[in-house]
Amino acid sequence: MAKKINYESAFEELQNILLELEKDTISIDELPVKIKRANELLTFCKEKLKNTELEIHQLMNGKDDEKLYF
Amino acid sequence: MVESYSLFELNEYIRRVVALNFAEPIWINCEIGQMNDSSGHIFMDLIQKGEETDELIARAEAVIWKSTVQKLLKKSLLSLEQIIVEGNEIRIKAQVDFHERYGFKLIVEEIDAEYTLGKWLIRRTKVIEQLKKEGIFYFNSQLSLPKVIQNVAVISSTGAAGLQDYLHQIQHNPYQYQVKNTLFSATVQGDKAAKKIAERLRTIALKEGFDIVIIIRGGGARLDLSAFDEYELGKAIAGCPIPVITGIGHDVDQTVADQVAHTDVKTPTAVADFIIHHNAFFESQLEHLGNRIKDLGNLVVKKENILLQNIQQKIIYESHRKKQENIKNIEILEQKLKYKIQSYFQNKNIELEQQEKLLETLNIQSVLKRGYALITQNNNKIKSIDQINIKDRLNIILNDGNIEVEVVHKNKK
Repeated sequence: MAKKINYESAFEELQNILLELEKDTISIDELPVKIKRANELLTFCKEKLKNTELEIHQLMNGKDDEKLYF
Repeated sequence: MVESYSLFELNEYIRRVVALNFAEPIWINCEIGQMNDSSGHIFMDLIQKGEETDELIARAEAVIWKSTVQKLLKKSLLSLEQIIVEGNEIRIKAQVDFHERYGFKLIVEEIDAEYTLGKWLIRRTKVIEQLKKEGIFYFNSQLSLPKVIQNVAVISSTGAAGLQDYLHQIQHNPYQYQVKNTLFSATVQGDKAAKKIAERLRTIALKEGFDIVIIIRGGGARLDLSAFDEYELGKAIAGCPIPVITGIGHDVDQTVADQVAHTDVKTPTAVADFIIHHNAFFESQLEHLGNRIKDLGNLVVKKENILLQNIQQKIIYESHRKKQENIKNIEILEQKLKYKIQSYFQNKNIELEQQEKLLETLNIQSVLKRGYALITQNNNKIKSIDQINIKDRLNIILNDGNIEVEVVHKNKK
């Protein structure tokens, strides 16, 4: 079974992204990829909080309406 | 024939003996075997168990008449409802009474609440010490809660109002968090309660997916928390691999179950609030993370922009400067050229003049050769008689030399 994305792992991944940003180790090319991933994780967590049936594979396939922060 | 008593006579006699020996009410330590209330009176079966065994060694009926009940209800410390509970040890001040018809009865006038409380606390303390000695007392408290609580195993009795309170509170939370609740019913009072709840806990522990277990009971007529002080239940909670939250409405101190559980709150509603706040805290952490990431992301982009702008500026500046430089160079060249041309023509003019002079001189020589003479006075050419006076010294230039003469005579034409 694929690695389960749960709150714990999503949170940890988000913290890692933040850490990289704080240490300034992300290049301008990598940045949109990381931001997109962060958005995915945040959206996943927030929606799962309100809907326990959210399938994990939805995260894997990516969602259609991606919200970019800028 | 031996005389025999009538039953009434016998009972009357016994009554008098009893009344004589027990004129005043006395304090009695005993245990409540059974109890029930009707019409406001409380009827109890008081018992005493053997020291070693659990065998019954004494028994008596007792009653608390309604008027006494009213009086006792006004006293605090422990509510009457908590004391008059099957299984509790109590200390009562009772009038010993024997009635011909109704037999032997203890008529309760006062209850020593502290005695019961004391017994309670002793029992509770013993259980806690036992659990600590076994090293399991803190097990459940030390478990960490998952970041989000969404799958709850609920232990409660089905009819309890507490269950409804909890469900309502959690399903109507303002954040609209979804929480899945699975009910494992169990009686929560009486002497079977501890065993039943412990059983449920063991069942739940074997299942996967639960984030927490909650044990809830609501208020109700009788606040019988004795089950929650029992060793078996304490052990089951301590040994549970999932965090246990209790919301059993304790009034005074925490029960054993409360202390062994991961968290204890007052009521089933409070349990729901606990869960909601826990999840809300996680969501706020998410928000914070999201904002930080967004801000820092923006910063990276800004920095890049500034770098680009800098380079752009430099390029513009440099190209401008180069242009200016070139213009300047051209102007300088222009000037130089003008000057050179001017010089050239000036030189040429001078040359020309020199040539002219030369030519003139040459011209003069050929005229002089023909016998003409040039007359000068102080280097000025004399062209007219008017320029000359008698006795003037003049210089006469001939073809091959010059002579100096004095004027003797002049004659204008």
